[in-house]
Amino acid sequence: MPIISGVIASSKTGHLQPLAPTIGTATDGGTGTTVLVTYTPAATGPAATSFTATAYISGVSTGITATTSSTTSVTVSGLTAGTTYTFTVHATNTYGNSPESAASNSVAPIVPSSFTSIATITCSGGEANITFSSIPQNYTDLQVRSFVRSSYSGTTFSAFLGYINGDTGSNYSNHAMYANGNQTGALTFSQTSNSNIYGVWSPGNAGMPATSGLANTYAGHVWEFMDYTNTSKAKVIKMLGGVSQNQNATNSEGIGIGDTLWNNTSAISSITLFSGYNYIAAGTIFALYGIKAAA
Amino acid sequence: MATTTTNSAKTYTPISWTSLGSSTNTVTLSSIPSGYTDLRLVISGGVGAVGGNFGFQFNGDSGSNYSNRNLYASGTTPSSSYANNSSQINATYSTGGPVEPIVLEVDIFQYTNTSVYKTMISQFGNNQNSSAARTEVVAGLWRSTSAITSIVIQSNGILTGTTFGLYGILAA
Repeated sequence: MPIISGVIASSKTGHLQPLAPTIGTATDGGTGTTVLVTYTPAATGPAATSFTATAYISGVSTGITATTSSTTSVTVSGLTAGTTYTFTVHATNTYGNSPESAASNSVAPIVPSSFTSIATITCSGGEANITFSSIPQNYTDLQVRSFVRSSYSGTTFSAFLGYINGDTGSNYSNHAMYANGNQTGALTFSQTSNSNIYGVWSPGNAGMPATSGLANTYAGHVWEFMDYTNTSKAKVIKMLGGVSQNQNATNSEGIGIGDTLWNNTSAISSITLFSGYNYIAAGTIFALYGIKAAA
Repeated sequence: MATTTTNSAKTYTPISWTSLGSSTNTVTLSSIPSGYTDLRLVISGGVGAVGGNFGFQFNGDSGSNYSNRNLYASGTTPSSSYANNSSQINATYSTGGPVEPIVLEVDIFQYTNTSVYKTMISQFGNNQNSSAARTEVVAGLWRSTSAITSIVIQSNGILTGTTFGLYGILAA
């Protein structure tokens, strides 16, 4: 029975089993606990019916595996965020497993960000205001990042104001500290009650550079609207912003940090922002993001 | 007419993470990818000597092309300052002793926009449970329209273990 014995011998030495696949890359799976492993089946030898990836830490098997019939990739689950893994892949058919592939590159799963872009408004110039409307209600906090300039051409630089849900009543109180223009030494503090958000009060302080200022210069602001859908609380807004223009002139530049209370428990569904003097200049950009806390 | 763009995409993407293996005066974050709108840099750690400004330069430019506007409280005393035509943006001034726990968050806006000068704002804090504590916010300007591809951070003996997390934020 030389042929039969030959088959048996071949099986024992793996000739009926697939050859080892060639490892591809291991990349973060985007969930914090998964990694996507790619591979290429052997071009010769018996066909495989499935592929199994095994996770290793420092070259030692974790016992974590994932099996698929895909000939290109498999997602390995049950990993730990921040832990570095390598992976091998073997192929399988009815006669058994191939040898393991070479080890993959190292990769650590990353907990995905909850910071989500919602909308961006890009100004062509001359806008009296901009409004983010129909704001989604499925985040915890909102952040507006703005890069702003005013069309005002005077020497007084314009403040940056806003209101919520179309409310221009006297329902806002603002507190801020700031340094302005060529001011040195003592700070300025302000407390106001009025009809707008003054994230940082006073012209020039974290406001918009006007066209009389240094060309190509915009102020940077980060506004944070906390717990914006909670109908049990009045709403708190924090703002940090400023601009340097290498000038020292009064009102030419400023840095400030402040907070606003909107004395209203309504969920925030729209935010309107505008320049306190004249109009918004071309190139101004407002970007809205949502931040979601853990459930 | 303003143009509105909407989407719902995850962002605040980790770009790089650096943990100092030894003390140094200079850390360079290079080969910064261009695929984001803003950058956020979070520094946590300490400096080893008094008098170290946390200074920022971009793209290796050490010319007099920087300015900054500072607002701070050192101990119990609030104050403010500015600097023009500087060789770096001074994001804070370390006032503490040889071990100074600090955190510094920096937002760099429109870092690839070649039509504008580059504006950054930062928040700094250190609290040593002593009168040397300092809190500071800063607006800085780099008068260049070049896209930022590298950031140099300079101080006076940045301590081993200080971390530098760089993130990209992409607008809709």
